[in-house]
Amino acid sequence: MGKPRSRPGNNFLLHKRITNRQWFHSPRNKKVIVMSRHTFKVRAKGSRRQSGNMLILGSVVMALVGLGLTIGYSYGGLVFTHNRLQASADEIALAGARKLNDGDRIGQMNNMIARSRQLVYESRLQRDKVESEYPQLIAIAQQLLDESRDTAEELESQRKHLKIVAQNEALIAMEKKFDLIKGTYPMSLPWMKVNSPQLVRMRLGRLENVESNVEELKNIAQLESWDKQHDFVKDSPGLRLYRRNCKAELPSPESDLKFYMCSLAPPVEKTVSPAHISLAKSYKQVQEHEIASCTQVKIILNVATGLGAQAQSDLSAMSTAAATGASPQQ
Amino acid sequence: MTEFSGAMIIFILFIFAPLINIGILPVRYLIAHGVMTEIAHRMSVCEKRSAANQLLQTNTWWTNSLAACGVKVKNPKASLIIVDKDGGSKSSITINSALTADLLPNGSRGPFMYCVQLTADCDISPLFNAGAGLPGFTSPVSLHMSSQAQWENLGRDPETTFYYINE
Repeated sequence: MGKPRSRPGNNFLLHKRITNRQWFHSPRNKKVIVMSRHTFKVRAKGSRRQSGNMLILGSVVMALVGLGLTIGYSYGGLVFTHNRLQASADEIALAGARKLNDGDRIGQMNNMIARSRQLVYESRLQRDKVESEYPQLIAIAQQLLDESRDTAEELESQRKHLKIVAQNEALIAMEKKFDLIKGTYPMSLPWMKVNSPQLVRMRLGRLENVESNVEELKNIAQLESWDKQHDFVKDSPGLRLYRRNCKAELPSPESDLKFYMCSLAPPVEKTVSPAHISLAKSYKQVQEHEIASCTQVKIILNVATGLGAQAQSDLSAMSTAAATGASPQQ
Repeated sequence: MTEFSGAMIIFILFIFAPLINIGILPVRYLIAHGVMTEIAHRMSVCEKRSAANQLLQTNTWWTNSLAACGVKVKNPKASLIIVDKDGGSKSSITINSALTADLLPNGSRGPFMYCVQLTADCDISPLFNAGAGLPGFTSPVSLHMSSQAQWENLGRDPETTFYYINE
């Protein structure tokens, strides 16, 4: 046996020529096999074909890894975008909530209504007393009563006006904030395309379990008793606050007057409740005549990932914000 | 053909599967981080701190949904981080313990910024989990994850006159 000659491109070694047959040594099987030159060529060709398969397989793996990375980047982008969308929703809701009680206008209105109510009640008491004890002064007492009633009616009219103004300003503030934010969203990356967000809902309401900001006025015992009897004041170990949105009517003949105090966080030991984000489930709708004290917004964002034209969906974020609470009365 | 099968098995076991396994980990990490951020945010907007703690204790949807995504959550803990106005000092208390008077919003060292911090040990499984072996390739990777959100309600409860953050 001569020195084996190697054949490039296959695993066989040519050992010896015997007529038209050849001896081959397979290193893997560690044995000598005999085959024709034709068989040898076919096997060698088959071996090259296997190498091609590996190339295809490698390409498939690379494609799968690339797909995985695209999914990873896309999902990471979605998480980041959703967090950003939530922060934007919070910002918009807060902008509206701060505007609602701007300059403590709702808190002051509630306080004025409570005091006006007390004034009407006191004026009626005085008028009745004057009628029986000092009939010559009845005209003045009646004038004072009429003035206090007129003030109460005017206040109710101003309250309705404030409701419109405060709510419109809050809505405008939210729209402005949204306009500022929406331009920062659109982007187109190989793995993700983000469109402009849409403001689909802006609502004004109140938070549950929040009564008015006005503490029960304690100067007139009869009125205190009347309020307790009609449950106009929330019985609590802390602050005794007028209930939100009750008509708080006075005894006849002043029962025609309306004294609505809306829901607003009161100052507690001179601590003003700052505007803040709240849980969406604590949002409640207000009645038609009630001034809102919280906002709720919902924004959606169309996002397409790099996984094809069909891989797009809307991310949504909702936020509820409570207005700044009332300030302490001077 | 026999040689190719062997190569194929080696290729799948030692290259393809580990690549897929290690590739899925960042995706699962992002899912876990996203869910934890969401929970921390929900806790931070609760009215009272006790309500935030209750939310963490009673809501199991997030641990269940993470388990479905291959992330096992262990020892979820919430705490309150208190940072002073200069950012110089930072203290932390567990979510269910009371704040001392000097750490309240009107405290002598105030004002403060309060953050709810949610931490948990997360076992992030690879796609093909053998249960043991090299973490990330054949067995879960254990990570200590945390997420923070700023506490929102700094008002006081008119019924008790306590700060909501301390109730």
